[in-house]
Amino acid sequence: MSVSSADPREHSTGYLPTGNDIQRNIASRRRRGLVWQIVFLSSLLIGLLALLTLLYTIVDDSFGYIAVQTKIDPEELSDRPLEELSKEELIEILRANVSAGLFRRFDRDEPFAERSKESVLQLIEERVIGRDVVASYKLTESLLERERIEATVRERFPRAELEFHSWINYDFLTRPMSSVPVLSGVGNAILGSLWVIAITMLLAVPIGILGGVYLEEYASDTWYYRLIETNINNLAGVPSIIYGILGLAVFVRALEPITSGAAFGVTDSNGRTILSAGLTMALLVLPLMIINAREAIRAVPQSIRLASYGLGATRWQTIWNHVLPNALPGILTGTILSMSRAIGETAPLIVIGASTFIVFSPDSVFDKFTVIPIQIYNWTSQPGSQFRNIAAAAIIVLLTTLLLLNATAILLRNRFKRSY
Amino acid sequence: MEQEARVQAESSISAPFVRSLRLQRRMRIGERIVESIVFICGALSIFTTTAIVVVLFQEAWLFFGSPEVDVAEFFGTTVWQPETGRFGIWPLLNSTLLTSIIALLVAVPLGLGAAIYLSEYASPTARGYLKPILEILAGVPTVVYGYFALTFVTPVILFGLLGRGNVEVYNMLSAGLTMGIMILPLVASMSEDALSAVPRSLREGSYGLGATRLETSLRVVVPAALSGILASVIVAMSRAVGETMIVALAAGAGPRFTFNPLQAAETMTGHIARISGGDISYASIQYTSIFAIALVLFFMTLLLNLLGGWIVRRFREVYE
Amino acid sequence: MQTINLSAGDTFQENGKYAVELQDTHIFYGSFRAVKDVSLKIERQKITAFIGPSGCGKSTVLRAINRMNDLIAGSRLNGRILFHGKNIYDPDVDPVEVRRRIGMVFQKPNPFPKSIYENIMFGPRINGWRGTKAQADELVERALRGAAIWDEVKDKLHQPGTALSGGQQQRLCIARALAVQPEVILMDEPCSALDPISTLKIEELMLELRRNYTIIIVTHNMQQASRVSDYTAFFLMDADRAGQLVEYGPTEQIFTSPNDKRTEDYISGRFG
Repeated sequence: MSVSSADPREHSTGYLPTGNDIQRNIASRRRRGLVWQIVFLSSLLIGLLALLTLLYTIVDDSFGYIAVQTKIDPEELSDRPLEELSKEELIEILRANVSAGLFRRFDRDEPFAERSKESVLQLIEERVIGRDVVASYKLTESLLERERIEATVRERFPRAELEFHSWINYDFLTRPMSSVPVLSGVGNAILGSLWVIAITMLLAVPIGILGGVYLEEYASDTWYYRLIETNINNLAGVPSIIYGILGLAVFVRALEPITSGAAFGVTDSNGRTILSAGLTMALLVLPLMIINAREAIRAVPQSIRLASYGLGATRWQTIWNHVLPNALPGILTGTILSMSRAIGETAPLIVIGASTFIVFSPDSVFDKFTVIPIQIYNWTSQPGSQFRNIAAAAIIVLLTTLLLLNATAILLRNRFKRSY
Repeated sequence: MEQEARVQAESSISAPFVRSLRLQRRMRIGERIVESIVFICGALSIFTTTAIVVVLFQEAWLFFGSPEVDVAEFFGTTVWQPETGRFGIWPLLNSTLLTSIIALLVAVPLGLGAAIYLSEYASPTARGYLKPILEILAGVPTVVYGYFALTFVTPVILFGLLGRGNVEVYNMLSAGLTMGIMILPLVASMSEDALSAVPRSLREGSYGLGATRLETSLRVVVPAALSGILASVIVAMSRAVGETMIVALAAGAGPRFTFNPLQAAETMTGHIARISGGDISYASIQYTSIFAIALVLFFMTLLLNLLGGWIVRRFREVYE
Repeated sequence: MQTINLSAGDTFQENGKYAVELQDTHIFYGSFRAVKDVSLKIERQKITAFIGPSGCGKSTVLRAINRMNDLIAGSRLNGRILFHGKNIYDPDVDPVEVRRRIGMVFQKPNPFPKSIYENIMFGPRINGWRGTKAQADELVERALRGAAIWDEVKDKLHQPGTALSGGQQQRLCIARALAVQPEVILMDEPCSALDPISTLKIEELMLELRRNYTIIIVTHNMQQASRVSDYTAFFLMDADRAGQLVEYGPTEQIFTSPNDKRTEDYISGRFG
């Protein structure tokens, strides 16, 4: 067949740009490419913008002016600042200033002998001093519209004083919750979280590691191995609220004698305890632990195992002495990630029955509980700007904790990555 | 001759050899015990799944068996009002689907766009910074997003854009948009992994034919990574359907069957959270009803997860 | 075998005998010089082979000709590479246009995970091709015939390209390159991943394609170079690990009476 160079426009194979047309064609394609590149970049930036907006909203709600008025001036109660008084002196002040019936009720809720000093102080502030925040303002407002705020407050609340308040402060971290936002704190929520996480990790970490060991080191490719594997992958995708339902039916209800402590002699509680919460969260976190442990174990080079077997070690000896120590950084990272997940989960604990109003600190696994995310949920869902303020403060506590945890995980991962 | 020497050598070391044999047998029992323990740990997951299935079915059975409830009514009607004995799941199901679809409409285009940018356009240093930031977004607890929905999305965006009179304080659009932002990093991360996994040789082949970066990305790389991208969408849908806190805080309390996203309508998960958070007796129909709802939810997410897995397996073959 | 028509009319002016010319070309990856001072002229409608031991820059030079090195961060080129008299590294030249006119076949066959038909039509479509379905079918057939694979795949055009055997995949990649009507085809060790029979088929194909295209091939296989090429360029790594052009000339001369002793040593197998 011969070669022909006919006019491409009429060619039987269609029209392909040639000559100067090529450059025009390329120019328009380049333009289109630029447009789409901007579109893609914008998608990324929108995501980042959302994160920034989220952080901004939280910070905005956590600091700002408040207008405060009090019933009684604290200086009328004692010539020394209240924080310096001993607990007994504070109790006396309380007794002198509230009705006897009210005093007895406080004692019944939690005996004064067992209360912390902060708790008594909080009661005084709540009931005696009557520190009342009548208005609160966001940070940007406070910084930019100060005069307007001052004018409004002077007009509407003449008795009130304007002060700059950081909703997240030492008191906030140590006090139990209160129905008055400004006197509220996440103290017992932090403790509750710690208790629940402790039980969760105590169960999930060993079982998760051993489960990972089974799947990677012991199991051969049988039907039940594949079943377990599929199972775990499925469980990782089950919504967390279903774990809550599971916990409700099994731990709170069916196993109530155990989880409420009745079997151990505890009489005044039901199944909605720290123990139930811990068990439920352990089940939730277990698939993640197993998957992480598997990856960490799989990353250990086969040569280490072969060397150990070659010296006559048994399978468990090899695992215990060589595989696990080498997989430890990965397992540690996985543990921390599981912890982060457990700390932030709210839905299952709502279903289990986290208490919405507790003022005392837990001192056994059979106690009722609340955790930080539940507090955030409670406060966010209540109307009133001040509840948003303390919700934001609690969010800062939660996010800081998670940030520290994840930073640790990343540091550990990077530190140990070079060891091979 | 050789054989004799060998037998002689063996018999001369027989005594300590035999002793060590006995040691080995003892250790093997220990090994067996360990083996059983680790097997139980691995198989515990089966217990969890079985427990979930048993619990859900058991209580749902009680629910459907009680006189006020009719299966046809459950799946067929659009009113959920326990006080009057009407149990139609559609209000809750509809709200779940609507909020999830809104979330996907936000998360999939933005997430995929972000993934394409990270994988095909961004420099390695930029990617090194941006990908971890996306992962941070993914690690924020959902209750914080719920707070965000109420304090920012609803007031600023919805009231600001559409006017306070047209939008209810609790509405499905806020919840859906916020959920979209929550699952965006998930879609972006999984899609970016899928795109990065496409071998370099395919891109080179495309450039070699005179293609621009856009053409290579959209016409060669994305189609080659399609199974991974689809899987990420399915996982995102599953997350959206199962999400509780954002909808509990922002979508509304109270089942309502409506297609208007500016109205409040409780989702399945929100309803479960609200009812179980209150005081309910174990014998009441309220109690069993949440198990029936949870059963539907469980099946939905199970189907989605299985679908995702199937898509990955089925389309991965076309790859290389 | 049928062939595809050449494109008529260029922005690059005709330069008579030589399709591509390298002048004092140095190629760097970052601060490392990978190729040093290469100058040669590639004659049109002939097959030129680059030979030499591994790592001496043959592929780097080849990929510089269609600006594929641009895709590697930190790579740059000093000197000029002229295509029809115009330096393709001039700032006003778009690499996309260069690659449209100078096609490439890679060492490992890389068909797209699309149908055979779509593989062929991909190039024309993105380059602004317009036509009817019948014209598209015709284009696909011609490209596949040009790569000597039409008879083997004509009944399965809509099956994935990845389902073919290795040798067929490589011929599909050649057909794909032909579909955008290039003038020069670069081949980077096209047969190194293939079996001997496929290799033979592709060598026969090359000789056919030479009628209408300029072909530059990098090969490890000296026998292949002596079998198919008209001109041969021999590269070697110098003390700084930079590739250098040692000798360049008609294949027969290089293989029977090379001027440079190093060339002679390599040809006779004393190293390599």
